[in-house]
Amino acid sequence: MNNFVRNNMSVKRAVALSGILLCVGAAIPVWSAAADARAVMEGVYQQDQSKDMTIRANLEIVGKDGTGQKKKFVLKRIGGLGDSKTLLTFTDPAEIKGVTLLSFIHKGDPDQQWLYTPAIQRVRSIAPRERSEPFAGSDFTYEDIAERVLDDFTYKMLSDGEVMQGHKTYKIEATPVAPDRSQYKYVYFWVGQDVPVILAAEMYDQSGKKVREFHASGLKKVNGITGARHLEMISPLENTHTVLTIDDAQFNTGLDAKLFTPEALAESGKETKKKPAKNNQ
Amino acid sequence: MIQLVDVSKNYGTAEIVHALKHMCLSIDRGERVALMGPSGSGKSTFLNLVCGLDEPSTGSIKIDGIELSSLGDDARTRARREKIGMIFQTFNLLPTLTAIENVSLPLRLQGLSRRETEERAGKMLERVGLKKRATHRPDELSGGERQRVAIARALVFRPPLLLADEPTGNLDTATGEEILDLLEVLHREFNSTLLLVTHNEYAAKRCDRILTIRDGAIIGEEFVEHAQHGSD
Amino acid sequence: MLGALWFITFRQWHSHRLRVFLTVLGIALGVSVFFAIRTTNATLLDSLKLTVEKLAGKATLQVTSGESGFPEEILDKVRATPGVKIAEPVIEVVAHTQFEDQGTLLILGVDTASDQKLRDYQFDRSKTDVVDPLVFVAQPDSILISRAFGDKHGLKVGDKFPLFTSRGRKEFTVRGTFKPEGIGQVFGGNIAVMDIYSAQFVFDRGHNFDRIDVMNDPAQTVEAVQQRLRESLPAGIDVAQPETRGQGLENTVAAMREGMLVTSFVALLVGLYIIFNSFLINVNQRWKEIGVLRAIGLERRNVTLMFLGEALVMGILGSIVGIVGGYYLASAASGLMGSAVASVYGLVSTPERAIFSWNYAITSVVLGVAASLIGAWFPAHAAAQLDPTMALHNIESRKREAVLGWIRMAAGVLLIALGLVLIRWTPSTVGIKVQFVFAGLMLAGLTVLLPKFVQWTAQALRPMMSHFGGSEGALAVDAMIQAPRRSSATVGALMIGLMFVFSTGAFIQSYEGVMDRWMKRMLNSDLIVASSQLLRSPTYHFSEELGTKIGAIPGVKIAENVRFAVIPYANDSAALIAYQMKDFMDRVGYAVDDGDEKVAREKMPLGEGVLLSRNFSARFHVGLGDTLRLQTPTGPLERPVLGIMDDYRSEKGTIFMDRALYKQYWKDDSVDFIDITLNAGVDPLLIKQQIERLTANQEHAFVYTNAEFRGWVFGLVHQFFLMNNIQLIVAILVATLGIVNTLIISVSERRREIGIIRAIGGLRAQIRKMVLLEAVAISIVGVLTGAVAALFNTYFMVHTVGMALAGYTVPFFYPWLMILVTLPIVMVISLLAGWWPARRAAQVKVIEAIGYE
Repeated sequence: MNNFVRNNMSVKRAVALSGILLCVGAAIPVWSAAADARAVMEGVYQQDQSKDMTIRANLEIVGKDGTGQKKKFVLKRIGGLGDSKTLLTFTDPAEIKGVTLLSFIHKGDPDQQWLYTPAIQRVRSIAPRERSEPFAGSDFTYEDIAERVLDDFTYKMLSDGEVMQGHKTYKIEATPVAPDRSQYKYVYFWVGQDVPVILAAEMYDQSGKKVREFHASGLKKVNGITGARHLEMISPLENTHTVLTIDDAQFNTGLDAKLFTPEALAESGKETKKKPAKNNQ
Repeated sequence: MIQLVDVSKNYGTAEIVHALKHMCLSIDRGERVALMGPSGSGKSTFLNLVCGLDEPSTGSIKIDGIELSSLGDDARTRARREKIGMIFQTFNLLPTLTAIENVSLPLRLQGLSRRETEERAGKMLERVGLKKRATHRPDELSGGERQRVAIARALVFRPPLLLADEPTGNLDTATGEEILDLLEVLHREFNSTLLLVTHNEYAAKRCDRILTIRDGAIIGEEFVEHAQHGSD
Repeated sequence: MLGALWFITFRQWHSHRLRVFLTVLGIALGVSVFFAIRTTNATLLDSLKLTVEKLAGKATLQVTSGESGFPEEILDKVRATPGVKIAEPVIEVVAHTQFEDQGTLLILGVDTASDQKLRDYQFDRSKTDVVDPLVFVAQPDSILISRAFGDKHGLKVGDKFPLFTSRGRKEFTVRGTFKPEGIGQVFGGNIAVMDIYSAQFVFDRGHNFDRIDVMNDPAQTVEAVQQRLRESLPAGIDVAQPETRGQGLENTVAAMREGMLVTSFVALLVGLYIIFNSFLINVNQRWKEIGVLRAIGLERRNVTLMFLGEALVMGILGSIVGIVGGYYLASAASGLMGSAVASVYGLVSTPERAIFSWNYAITSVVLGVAASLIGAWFPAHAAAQLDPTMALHNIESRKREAVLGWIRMAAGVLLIALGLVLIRWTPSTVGIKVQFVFAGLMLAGLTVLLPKFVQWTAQALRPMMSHFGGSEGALAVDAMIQAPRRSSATVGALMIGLMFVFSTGAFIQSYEGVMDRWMKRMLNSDLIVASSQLLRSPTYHFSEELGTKIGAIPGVKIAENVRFAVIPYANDSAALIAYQMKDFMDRVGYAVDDGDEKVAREKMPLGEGVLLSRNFSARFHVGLGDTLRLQTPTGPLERPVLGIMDDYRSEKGTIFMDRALYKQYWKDDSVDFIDITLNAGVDPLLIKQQIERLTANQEHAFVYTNAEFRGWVFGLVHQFFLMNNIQLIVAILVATLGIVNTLIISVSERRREIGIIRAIGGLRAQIRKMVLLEAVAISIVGVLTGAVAALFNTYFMVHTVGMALAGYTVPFFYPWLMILVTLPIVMVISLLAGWWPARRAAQVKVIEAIGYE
């Protein structure tokens, strides 16, 4: 698949970023030295029990030739794992300012998503994406940033991993229970033994080639949730990488659920443009 | 009227056929000459050369003082249509034309007006005794009638030379006799030179001179004495 | 035995190379035109279908609603239907560029994010060509172009170029390119992709889609999903498989196609005459030979077989040559036809090369061989009947042809009468195919009478020919009088060819007369602004704003917004024209041709009824007072028919309704024409300039004065009748070939006569003149017979063909002027055609010709 389409369609799922943030935030679980691999992963996924979240982030995609594209966005989420609504608004550069994605994730149902484009004041609904598609033209795929489903993989504790950023790690091998659950043949995770955060990962495709490499750093704890503020995904085969920097993260600020509807999305456009919005949602 | 000097005619390229061999001949104005010979003797070649339908390989042919062998096709054709009337064994009338149209054709080809040609052709037909059959087409005429039309056509422009190629060959004896009588009468009336090619000894005998041709050369010449009318 | 005959035949071929060449050429010509027309047709349809299919991608079903599109809510319904795996909306726009070639660009508005599941765009992969997808959807000026288009106009990623949109002239930014593969090949590579919502915005499509392309769940059958979609969607929305939709286009171009079909059979018919003629020559040239063969004991049957065998070989040879030639002809014609179809129907297609169909090739060979055998049959039969003694006999003895018995003559007259009666009084429901048989009866009758007719006309010509052409003229015509059948075949070929040229011409002129009167009545506005140079553009429209702007120009009394769409109706399609009814009725000064004027005036502007064109009424059997039921994108619409109008806008039939009613049911406020009425005394040219200034660089608009508009419509009519030009070319080719043919036979048959004329003093120039005059005589007789045949055929055309193809008849019109103009043209052509035979005749060797047997 070519880059353009790949990039373009990935936008629609940008909202799934919440997934990656779930990966990096964690409540403190009970750790045992000879922890069960599955329990360790469960701890990673379930540490965030917040009701809402607001983050401001930078996404920098660096191409083969070293040129980078930067985007800034604000992401708001209400609800928790398996039942959330997310609003992602790009703020920079000017060409995409105001482009907003709304997404509903409800366990068991297909995701629902809408995109608002201010220039034509339209809200459109968007069909769900493929897991292997890249997100926003970055090196992250949707699978990488989506909410992970614990049961989609089986986990095997390989060994104690290297020390990363001062944290001892477990090296865990995750293998999908069925090929349709993942684009990868297997994934290695390095999870902090004292922090429930994935500090590094390596993803291998069906032919066993390493296609992606993930590093997290700049751990910070806000409202009892630990998360990395600097996330880097490298595509060694394509020689590109993407850096996601989280400038600010707030939890449980009491976001208004009314904002998280397609109608409100259209209204927000009305306010910014001071013109009647054209939409039919 | 006709002068041939050392005329030869050869056909073919690989194997040359000598149709006429160094022929010399002179025929005077008003003379009646019969040419006799078996098939392939060169009679036809001789006739074709004389009427300008063919060119000799060597030698000179003069008709009424005109050197034919030096002329192009159009000039020879013009010479033919002004000086030579032709009668054929197979009549060679145009089947699509009526008798009078056939007779007037030579005049029309000369560019004369329709009225004049029809008037002269009508008179000519009357002269050969076919006035009543003027508007009939050749296929509605008997053999003798057809030959009369052909004679009328040959003489309508009063040519100084009349060439007749076996004019009785396709006719029964009685009709043939009639045609020969007609030719004789008309010859006298028009004072033309007559060259008659024939197999028929009786017909030949009615001429002033009989030439015998064989293998492209004249091998015999005989003058005929007539009781009633000699040559002019 | 047959081996020996073959030997003789091939010797003949060798010594009569020219005749063989002409015969094969005759067959080849007929076959090539037939094959070319069929192939062009197939290529065109294939290209239309291919375009549909390539644009459809992997879609197994397509949801459409005529040209008007449908509200986008339908998409949710489609996606919610069980068995639908993928459903992607599409808008198609043909936009005008401002490049030197004034070309057009097919813009596919799709949801670029998800559409690639259906369509393979083959985007260029290089990183530098990839522009941020977010920017692409965020900026409505974003466009992706095919590399072919980019290369042609020197456009790279990041460049801007203008297009005419409903919101005026706008700059677009190239955000990416795709390879000239798959969809990149469609429309000659002049294709671009836009975000569908941006396309709705810039092309003023409201919240409508043109189409939804659906891929079914492979676990369910296409038919089941189709059925389910049909049930869940409003009735005005059609669900079809792309292949069927492609086929549906055949219906759209039916009128043009059927016209071409007739031309293809004319070509074959004309070829038949040439073959007949050629074999007549053959038999004539071999008269003596046949006599000899018969004399030495060859049976009649074998004589026939000899000629038929020869015809078979020539037929195969000619057909193969014809197919090769026809293929190249088709390649040349396909582009031409493609643009004609685009002009008349607004259908996008770009036939690149002609498709070669074995099916057509085999059909053509079979028809070519069959025509050869039929053409050779009569001469072969005549040869077999030949009396050997006659054949060997002298020319004076050859009886004149028995031209025509009274029985045959009566049969000819009877056939013509029968054909006319059947055409006049058989109901049109028997179908066009049966009606063509009736026309065939007339033609057969004319053919039977042909020799007699040739004789009569030649006789009538004789005094004139004799007067102007002297003895040569008379001799030339005599040939025709004496042997009418010899020239009959050529005259017949000319007759058929010219008959079609004349009667099509008559039909067109009559149609134009009707159009002219109609336009003067109905299209009587002072100025007309059109959105396309074509009859109509199914994809490019104005917004209502333009009408408002024009209405505000001082001097403009009223500017009417007119929508002209094609909608599906009763398994076919029909034109729908939405007028601002009150303004329209005030302007034309009457409301209906048939019906209650007062009621129509009262109810039409309120949307309480519809008007139908007379041909709609005739084609679909809906009359005054009936209720017209239409399926619209928002549900069924039923309105009483308040009046019948004489309208010639569409050969499919036209429905008139008030614009507000249309907008309500079709959710479509686009505008195709703006009819402008000016205040008294205002100079239309002045206002035209003002509108042009208003739209300059803003709208792709064409402003016509009333007279200009009418001229423009006539231009389109001519384009529609493109096939008439093909007929003309065929007729001229045939005339040339036929005349060469006939003169060669004439010269060879009259060799002896020519020899005699030469012998008694005819000059070569006189012989040439004679042959050329015969050519002229044949052409005159050919034009005359064509004129007579055209009398009958024109009646057939105006009475039957018009009704069958378009649902309306036009008054009978006899094309005097055209015939008079054609006569000198055909005469000059025949002089040219006669040149070579004349030369041959002049070169006849007298001694051989008059021969001493």
